[in-house]
Amino acid sequence: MGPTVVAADAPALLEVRGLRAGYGQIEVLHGVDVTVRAGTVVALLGPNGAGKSTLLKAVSGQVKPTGGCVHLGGRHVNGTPPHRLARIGLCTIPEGRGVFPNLTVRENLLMDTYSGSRAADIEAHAFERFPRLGERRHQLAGTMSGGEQQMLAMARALATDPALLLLDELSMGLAPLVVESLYEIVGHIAAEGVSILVIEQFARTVLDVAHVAAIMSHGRIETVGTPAQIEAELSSAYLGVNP
Amino acid sequence: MSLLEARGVSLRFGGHTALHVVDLDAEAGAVTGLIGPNGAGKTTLFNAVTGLQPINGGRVSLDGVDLHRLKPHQRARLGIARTFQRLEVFGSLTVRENVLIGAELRKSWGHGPIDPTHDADALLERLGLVEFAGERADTLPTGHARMVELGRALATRPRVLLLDEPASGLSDTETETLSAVLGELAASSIAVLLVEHDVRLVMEACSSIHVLDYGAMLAVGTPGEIRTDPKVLDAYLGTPVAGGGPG
Amino acid sequence: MSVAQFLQYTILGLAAAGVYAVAASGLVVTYPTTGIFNFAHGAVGMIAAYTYWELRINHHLPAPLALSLVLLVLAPLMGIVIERVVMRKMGEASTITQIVVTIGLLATLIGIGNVLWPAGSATKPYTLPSFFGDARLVHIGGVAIPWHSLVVLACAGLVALGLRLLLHGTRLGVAMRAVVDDRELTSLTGGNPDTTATFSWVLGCFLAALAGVLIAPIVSLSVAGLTLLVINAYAAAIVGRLRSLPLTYLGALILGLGDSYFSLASAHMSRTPTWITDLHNSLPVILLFVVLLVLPQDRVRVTDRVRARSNIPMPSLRKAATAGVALVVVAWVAAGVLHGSALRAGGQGLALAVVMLSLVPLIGYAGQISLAQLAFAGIGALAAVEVVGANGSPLGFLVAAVVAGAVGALVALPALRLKDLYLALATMAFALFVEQVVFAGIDGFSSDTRVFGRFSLVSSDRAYFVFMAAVFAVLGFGVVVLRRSPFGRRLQAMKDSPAGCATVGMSLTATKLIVFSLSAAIAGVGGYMLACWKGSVGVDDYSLLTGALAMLPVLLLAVVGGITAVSGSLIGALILVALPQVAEAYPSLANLMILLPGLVGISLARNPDGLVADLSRLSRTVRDRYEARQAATGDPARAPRAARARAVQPEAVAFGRRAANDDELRALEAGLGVVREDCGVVA
Repeated sequence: MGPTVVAADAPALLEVRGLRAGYGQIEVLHGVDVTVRAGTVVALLGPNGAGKSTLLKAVSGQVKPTGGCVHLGGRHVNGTPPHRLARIGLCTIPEGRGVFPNLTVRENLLMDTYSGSRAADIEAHAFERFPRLGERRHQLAGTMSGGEQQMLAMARALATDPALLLLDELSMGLAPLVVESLYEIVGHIAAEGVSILVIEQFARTVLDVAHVAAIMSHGRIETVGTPAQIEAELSSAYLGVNP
Repeated sequence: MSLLEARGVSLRFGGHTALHVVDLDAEAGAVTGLIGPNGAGKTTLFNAVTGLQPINGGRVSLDGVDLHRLKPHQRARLGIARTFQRLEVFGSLTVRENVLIGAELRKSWGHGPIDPTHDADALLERLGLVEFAGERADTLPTGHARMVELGRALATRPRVLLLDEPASGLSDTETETLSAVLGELAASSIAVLLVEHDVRLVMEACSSIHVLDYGAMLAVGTPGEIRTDPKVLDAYLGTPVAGGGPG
Repeated sequence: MSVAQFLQYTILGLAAAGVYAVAASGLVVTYPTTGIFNFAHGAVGMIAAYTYWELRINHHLPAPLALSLVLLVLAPLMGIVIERVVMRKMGEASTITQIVVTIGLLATLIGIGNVLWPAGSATKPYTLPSFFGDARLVHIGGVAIPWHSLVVLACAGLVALGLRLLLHGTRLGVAMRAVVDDRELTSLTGGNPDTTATFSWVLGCFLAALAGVLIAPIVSLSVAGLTLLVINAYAAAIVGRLRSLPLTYLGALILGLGDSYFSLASAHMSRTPTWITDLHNSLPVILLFVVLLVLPQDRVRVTDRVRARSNIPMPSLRKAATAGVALVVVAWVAAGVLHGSALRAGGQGLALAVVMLSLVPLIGYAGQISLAQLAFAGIGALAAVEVVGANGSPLGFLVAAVVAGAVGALVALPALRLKDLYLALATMAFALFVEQVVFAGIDGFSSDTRVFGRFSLVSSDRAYFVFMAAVFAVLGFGVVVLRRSPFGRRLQAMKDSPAGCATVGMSLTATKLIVFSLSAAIAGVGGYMLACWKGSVGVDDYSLLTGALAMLPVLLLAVVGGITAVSGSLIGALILVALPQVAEAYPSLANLMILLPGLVGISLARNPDGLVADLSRLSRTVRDRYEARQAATGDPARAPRAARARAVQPEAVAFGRRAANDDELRALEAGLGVVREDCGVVA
């Protein structure tokens, strides 16, 4: 499947300009520019240590930018605490598992009600899309398989109707088939009109659902292009071969 | 027999299997690459070798000596040194002190007469750290800090050196220095194990490469063999999402 | 013994367990959700108990009203104030800072208790009637049980039930557990970490207060005594590993029943030796120590906490030597000028400076905490006087150092596996054990009348004063030498990165053992010096909580003076001994002087670097204000950012499908007061 077609001049839902951020004295982002237009999926690729996760954290409010700006819906939101952004429709699924391991499935879904949706609606939505979660509603999330945990995390993205979705390495440690099915869900969410910024190491997997791809390295965006352009560039970047 | 040998190493935390019956060989006088996607278990394997995480099965041996039951610092004294992906420099010490501490510790184990100060200064020179020698390590950018960790590890004059993403965050000149140091190390009798995402660097520096995927060894071979192995490319780039969905 | 007697002791034990369980569950609620262990938990209970006494006995309020005021108004208020004023943003601070700040809070609350309810001067005795009357007994199966015990048991049951319902049945409760699992993720889902933190402090203070009110009628009220009683509950919380409520209740059960059966057993002895009684009293402390040691511990691991930057000065040896000589000269002059209580206080300051100096390598360099330094000091003093006799001898200092150092090593050996908070708790338990069992059991020492003489060469006050300054100068010089040595480097390396140390071949165990032992030895010397200076000392001079110069104020002032510097010890000690002098000279400031050590400890929450950093920040603020005023009078380019805000209205885009989101976003932006122009984007 390919991504849905969107207008190239759709308004910018997320606009990052000259963003600088880091940890303590060490600057990780040295001026990053990224735009996510309404209804598009932007894939962020690049080696470890390039600053992809830091960029996501700066957008979600977890890392305070030291320079430049983050605009959501044309509004300046630098330095806003993450929970306030989450309550207005920014959904972030962080690296690793985006679930609370010592809460049950239902309790995990209860946490999603901070986004403004009702608990009953969230559960109905989640259990309809992932019947397996319904069967395990009283199980502790940490005792489920990695794939099931990631489904639970994705249920938040599905059920809370976010404006912008940030995904960080959904595939980490998961079997290829599971990764595939997760990205099918990402495709569905995108088709509903949710804008997505996604970090992924498996370039081919993500390029299929992306409208735009960007390669990041050394704290800057190096290249922006269509998925096809970027894929060709990547295979040589990774292993020095032409596939 | 290789200098560093892992046989059938398995490691689990919680219900998650991080390493599944992994074999690994690092020869003296060679740089061995260890590559694989994020979360494949590379750092975990380093933790298993250095003793920071206990293993649930298999054995790790250095020059035929089983390392089982040895604590991390005892393994270090036998000659296993490492760097960390998430930096572990001694932040409140200066760059020089960081390197000096390695040399001083080596001297304190009674490994022959060495002059720690001389050793440390030589290493600072070799790694291009002289101009930062007096600065606190926690004020350094990532690239310099990685070189400091490398210097600290080398100061213990290890037999086996484990490098965890030494090139990540390095500038181009620093990567060149690193590459040159790797070359020198390969020519010495040290066994170097290199985890690195900069595949070009790995292909250039390593004589053999291990590919780890989902906690298991996917492939072992020369750079040429690894480069043309379709399994490896799939492991790196993933597979396209097949069928379905709107489009 | 009869079955009825056994039953009676069992029920009394259960009631005690109930109090412990209530107190400990407060810790188990607050610690995991906020990451901060509240050393002041016991003091909160103490304040609540005294306030209840004040309302009930002094102001004759009916019990239900007094209880409501204490539990539903005072306790939540304390929780909110503690969280807002002290603890917020402390999650980022180093564990040592967190420990010191809550100890500052503990010292402050004890200070408040001492100011408001001074021992022995009340018009009415500090006792409270039991709930439903002292004499009312219930007879169950031939056993007479006080109503109060049943009330306590009912409260413990209700607390367990209530916590279960809250933590599993409400979103706020689930969010509190979610914070424990993953703080970042909680805020990413929209949960406000500040709200959960405030609520868990409120809940923690409520439970501490409830425990205090429940225990108050059983004992006669004393500030230190009540605080310690709730501290006993720490052992139960540790059994629950500060996480599990059911295990915490089990720990409380062990404590309560153990205590009760101990009483039963000693009631059947024909003659109870005093050490049995002492041992009985310190049962919770022993349990705390043992449980800490048998707890499974984390392995050496890669650090995940943001490390606090500490600046450790490294003076040159020449400078250190000059400072040392200067100190001795100043002391010689001072000893001639000062007399009476000022001289006595100054001398105590020099002795305490040595005890504080023992913390410099331990906390300042190695990042290991100990609350037992004054216990080591007392042990050093006792050992010295046992060996060299009451007439004194220079040899005494050697004995003090060696014995205290050896005991320090003995304590460190099992405690080495412990880190940060657990190490603080274990050393606290050891200090209390030494105080309650060892010191209390030594003739003369328990009554503060043990005689210590100075050796003949420095027997005069003036000579001894200068001698103490010289000892501090020599030891301080030694600590500077240590800082510059390879071993000093290793100590700091251990603080920065244990994993890094292990992988360059450093034995963390050996390094910790040496520094702990060295530090205890220095404290031992300080302790013997203090004893010889005062001439007669006892348990009150080497106590954790009680006494004018207890361990907690010593630790607080050492940190405030500057825990990484030798000079900081001297400054801290001199401030500490000056406080009572000021109080004497200016009686109106007396209460402030009592509260001051705790308050400065709390101030570290805002500024872990101590007073010096405060001063530099103040000068910066003044400069900024000055510049802002300059800007306002002319140059528009230098106008504050806020004035330029909203000069350009950004083009808004609908964010999400809910109109409310856009309103919220607009409100957010307005609150930030920054415009697109600032970002280099031309609107």
